Amino acid sequence: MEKITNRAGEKVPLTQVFQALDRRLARRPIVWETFRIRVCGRLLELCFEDRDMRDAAMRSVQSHVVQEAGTPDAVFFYWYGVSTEILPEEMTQRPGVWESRDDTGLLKVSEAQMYGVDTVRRHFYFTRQKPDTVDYAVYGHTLVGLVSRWASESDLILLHAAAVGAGGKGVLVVGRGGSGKSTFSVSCMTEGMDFVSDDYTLISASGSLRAMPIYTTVAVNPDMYARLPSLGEPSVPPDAEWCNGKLQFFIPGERFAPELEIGAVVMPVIGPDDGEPAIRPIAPGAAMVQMLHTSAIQVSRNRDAALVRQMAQRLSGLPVYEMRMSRDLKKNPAALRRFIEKEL
Amino acid sequence: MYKLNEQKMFYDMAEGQAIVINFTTGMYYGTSSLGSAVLDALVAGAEPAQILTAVQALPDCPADMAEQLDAFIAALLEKEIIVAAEGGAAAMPEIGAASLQDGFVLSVDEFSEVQDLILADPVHDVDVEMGWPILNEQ
Repeated sequence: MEKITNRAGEKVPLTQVFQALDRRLARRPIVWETFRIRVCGRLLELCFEDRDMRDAAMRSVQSHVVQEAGTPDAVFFYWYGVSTEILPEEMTQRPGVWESRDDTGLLKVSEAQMYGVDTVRRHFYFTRQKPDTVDYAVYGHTLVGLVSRWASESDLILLHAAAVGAGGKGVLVVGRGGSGKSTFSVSCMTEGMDFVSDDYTLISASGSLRAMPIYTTVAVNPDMYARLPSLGEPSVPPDAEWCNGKLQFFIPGERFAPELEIGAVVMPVIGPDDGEPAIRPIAPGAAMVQMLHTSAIQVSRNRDAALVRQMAQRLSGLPVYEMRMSRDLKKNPAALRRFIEKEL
Repeated sequence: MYKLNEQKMFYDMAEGQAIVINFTTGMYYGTSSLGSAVLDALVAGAEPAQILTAVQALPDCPADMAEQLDAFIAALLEKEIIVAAEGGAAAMPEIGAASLQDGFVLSVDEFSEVQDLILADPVHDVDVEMGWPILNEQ
């Protein structure tokens, strides 16, 4: 692990590095586009150099946006920059990742991007080179990347999993792309079940295992949309660049459960016909690998053994079930509801 | 015969790629394409001799595949991904040409933060009072 020192060879705390970075950013002609959200009871402020990036991020958390004054729990900064602003040029020419960590923060820099965490002032930084074309699909991952690091400093964990339930109790839903996870979780929402997320979920890192929402949109594949008529019209034109081929829906905040007590993990598989769904216990390995691996990969923390260990230990012991789903989408939420009421 | 070390490891095989996570340390492992097929066969209960026969049946299999397989199994044991098991041999999963995307390579890679770090001391020309990254402006 690298240490940053001054000419006298004394270690410079990372919080001072970030304070210097703030001064450097203040000298640039950046007009920060900001908004605030309330998540898990905490006020967060997000600051963007680019209005399009701000708008894309704001769309995904729209129902959390608040007009509140007061000191935020954390501030996030997103801007377009190059690693030579952060590291001396001779280091930026070398391949790989440069990282420093101490009691006051974390700094992780590659040629393409930088993550910074000032744990003293609770400032979170992300910068990357401006892409040649609009790359809205990346914005979501940018947001979850910093949210994951904020979560680690806030007794929370960000998981790549859906979360749905009934009567305040629920399950994490995990699955590979094309497994029906998102369609299933959205159908649970349209059938009036408790709904936290269709893709990313915050969970408590200690105490009782609770799932909480972080963003307030859902996305479905166009071929599934016709089978979920109660969703209504998509919130944005289907061909919008940032939709990544999916139909996006802004969901009112009251449709979200503020939290769910999690009692199991469910891994859906698409069944062959319209018959009744079937839920059976399975060994945890495949579900856990899927959840831990994608959770770490999606936030660029796939080599963060401490995070993977924390997630694994937090989730170990949760019973895991395979749910063979019916192609009649209405049957699946009903089956899950019965399962939750009986088993959890 | 061998089995997955379920006391420490989560394992999944998807689209021909094995992923193993040590849930006690947070470390995780990937393997080459052929390594994934071999690991999947080992976890399923196939005997090493069965696996070697299947691999040697593939066109252009190197002459030292037996030694490579022994070394690969030794690496899996050393990392505690698999452990010795008792019982009868199980049916052998298919190992075909689809497992040769990386060629006849049997490797297991450990993914950790230290792999990518630049090992250099970033002491450089900085402001003596504030340290890096306040550059000593010319």
